[in-house]
Amino acid sequence: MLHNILNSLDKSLNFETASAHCDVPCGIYDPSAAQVAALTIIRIVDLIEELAAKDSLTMADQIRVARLANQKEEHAGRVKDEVNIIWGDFLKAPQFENWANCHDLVHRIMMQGSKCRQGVSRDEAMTLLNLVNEFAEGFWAAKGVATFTATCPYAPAENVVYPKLD
Amino acid sequence: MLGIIRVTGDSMVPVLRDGDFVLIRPVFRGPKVGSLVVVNHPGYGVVVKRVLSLRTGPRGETLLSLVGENNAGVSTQEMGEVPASLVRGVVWWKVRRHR
Repeated sequence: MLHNILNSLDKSLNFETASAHCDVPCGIYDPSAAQVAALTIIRIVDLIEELAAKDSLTMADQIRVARLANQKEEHAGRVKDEVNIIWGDFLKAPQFENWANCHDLVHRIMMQGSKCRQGVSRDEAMTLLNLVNEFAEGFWAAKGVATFTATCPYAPAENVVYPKLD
Repeated sequence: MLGIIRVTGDSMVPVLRDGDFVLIRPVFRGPKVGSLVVVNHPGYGVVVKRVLSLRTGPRGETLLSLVGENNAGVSTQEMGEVPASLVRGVVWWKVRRHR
């Protein structure tokens, strides 16, 4: 009952929150989220370039460009976050021993993610996807799962490293 | 000063759960080991954690090490030591969400 009262008050008074960080070791790690985000960046760059090819932009086009740019930056941040979580939380010394260039690869993904945030370049976005695919390959190898490369069945139809689970 | 704070996240389960409220009171004679405290953490914002240990810093200030109720994720080492001056208050009363 007291909680209900406080909950009602919270809706109007908006009490301050204190974070009890999610420390639950859920054990769910998968680079696919980073790969999908990297693909999204490529797709967004393609859509922006389609608009850029127009002679003039309507107000609706301009709003669309703004939304696309916003999403591109968000997804570049997502790539970095997802890779960071796997690198920081999942990977430990035994995996690093068998994955010589892991730290360098992660660092390059961080740098490339920033480049994709800042610019509108398909080449840069492709480089990011390739780096993330390399990371996915290393991640699955660390888990003893074989991988294969296939073209994703949706635009931008680029190559993605998938785990071979059968 | 008293304050009501809403808890978000699960690191303090089972002591505090996401959506619980806590009433905090000022720290009168310094936080004690084992106390639940609300802290203005310089890196993580306002957090609720348990005091793991206390020590006196080089300038005579009290430094707290904090810990969650779960053992993974943001560790005591990652949070680092926090000066007692950043403690907003001690959890005085817990109001649990119905489950």
